Amino acid sequence: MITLKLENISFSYPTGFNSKLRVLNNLSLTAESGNIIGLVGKNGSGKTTLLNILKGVISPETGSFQIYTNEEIFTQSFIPLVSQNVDSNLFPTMTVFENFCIVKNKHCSPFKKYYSKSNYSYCQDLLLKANMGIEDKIDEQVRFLSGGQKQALSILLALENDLPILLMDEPTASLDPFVSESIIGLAKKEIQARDGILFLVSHNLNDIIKYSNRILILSDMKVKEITHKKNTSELELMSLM
Amino acid sequence: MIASIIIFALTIGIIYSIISLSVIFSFRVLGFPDLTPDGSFIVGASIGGIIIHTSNSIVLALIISFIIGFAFGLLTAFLHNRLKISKLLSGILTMTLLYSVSLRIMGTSNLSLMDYPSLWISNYSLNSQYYNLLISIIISSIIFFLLFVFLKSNLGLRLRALGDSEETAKNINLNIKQLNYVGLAISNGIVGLAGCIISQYQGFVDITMGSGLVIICLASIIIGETIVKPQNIFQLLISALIGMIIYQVIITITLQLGLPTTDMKIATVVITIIFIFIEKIKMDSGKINRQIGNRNI
Repeated sequence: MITLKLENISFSYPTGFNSKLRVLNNLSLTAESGNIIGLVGKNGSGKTTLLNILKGVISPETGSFQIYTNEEIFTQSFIPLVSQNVDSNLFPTMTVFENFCIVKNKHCSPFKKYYSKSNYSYCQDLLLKANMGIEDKIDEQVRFLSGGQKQALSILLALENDLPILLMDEPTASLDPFVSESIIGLAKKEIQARDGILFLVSHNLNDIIKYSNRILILSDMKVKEITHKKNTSELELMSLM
Repeated sequence: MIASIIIFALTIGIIYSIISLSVIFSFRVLGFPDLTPDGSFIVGASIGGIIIHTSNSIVLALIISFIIGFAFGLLTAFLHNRLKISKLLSGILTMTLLYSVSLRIMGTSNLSLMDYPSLWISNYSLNSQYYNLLISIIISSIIFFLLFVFLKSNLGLRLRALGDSEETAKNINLNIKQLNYVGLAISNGIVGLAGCIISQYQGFVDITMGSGLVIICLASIIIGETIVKPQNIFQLLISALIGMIIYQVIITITLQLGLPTTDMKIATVVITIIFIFIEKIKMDSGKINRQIGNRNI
């Protein structure tokens, strides 16, 4: 059981000498295992700032952010982020297996099939289960994969972290609708299988409605949650942003 | 005569390929345009020379020259990591510092190593040239093999990752500062070692020995990459090796054809420009894939 708690978070960006632009103001939020959270808001509403705070890249000015695993505080400060720019999620001129080894911090020998057989077969299984057409690409350099395959791999590798919490920032912005569907479907499936938490930021409100089980709207420096119903419409969401 | 010239060019090319391997390691693998080698080469040569003078021990000279290069690699990484000095300037500062450090070590601007123990045989017979060629092949092969295995290890993989995409390295929380320390220390350690080896081959240490070394290595790397078109880490290291051998052969031939030694730098720049131009044409025509390694430099 994982619980993620943000309490009274505030954050401002400096805009000049002695002036600041406040983006988040006393924002509080709790997320638990099984939550697929769709995060929406206008440009500049603070979505990416919030993700960066969750990721641990920036520290809030005030407030606290804590992760609990079975009621105990988890002291990890790093949550992986899958962004729309696939090249910032993976190492392009390294093979799929080498990317896996870096993320997992496992020994990757040049004679891998003999000396790190268990890692190699684990990685093969991981690719096979994803069913994204990358099962036979383990020794291929990432730059030769398609956009969808790269994004699928980014998700699989991001989930090889200590905690099954995943942040996705417009992960399908450059992909066609068919591939987009499989990518977000894959992330949702994997998160649910691990009983984790997924934060999905997207301007595609249809995706947000379809895949998330909680919808949070960032506006006026705060977050408000709307009751997620099956018949929530895009227009309804837009009117609340 | 011709055989002798060819063997000489090959030997020089193979020995110098040790430096081009470490330069390709910092520039392409780590993505750090490190100019320290100009200084770590001469500091390795000078400390090695002094040790050979005082103790007659080649092994001790090799070990200490590696360690001193290693230490000044750490200094460059420190300047960049801690003091936030740019990559290029950090290397330039250490390189400049090392010029005086080397003069301090030697106490003079040149030091003869003739009549002292050496890895090489320094007479002009063809047999001794074959022996020297064999020694150069053995030394380069050992360094090539160690570097290749290291780059396939867990730590080496992280260094490659940093050069491949610094953005991703930050994104997945790799310790970039630590990797800079490790990478620059190893690369300059190898250059220091090469300084000691090459000064023994030449039979002297001269304070100007390291000047322009990085440029020569870059020229040879570009030549090697144009020919090998590296697509994996093995081919990348091979291109450093082959590039330096070809560069040295070209330079030796042009000198033999009557090029004054004063014009050697002109020859280096012209050769580099020609090979960059060839590579550019091939890239633009789509004949070759994007090659591996950091291409920002």
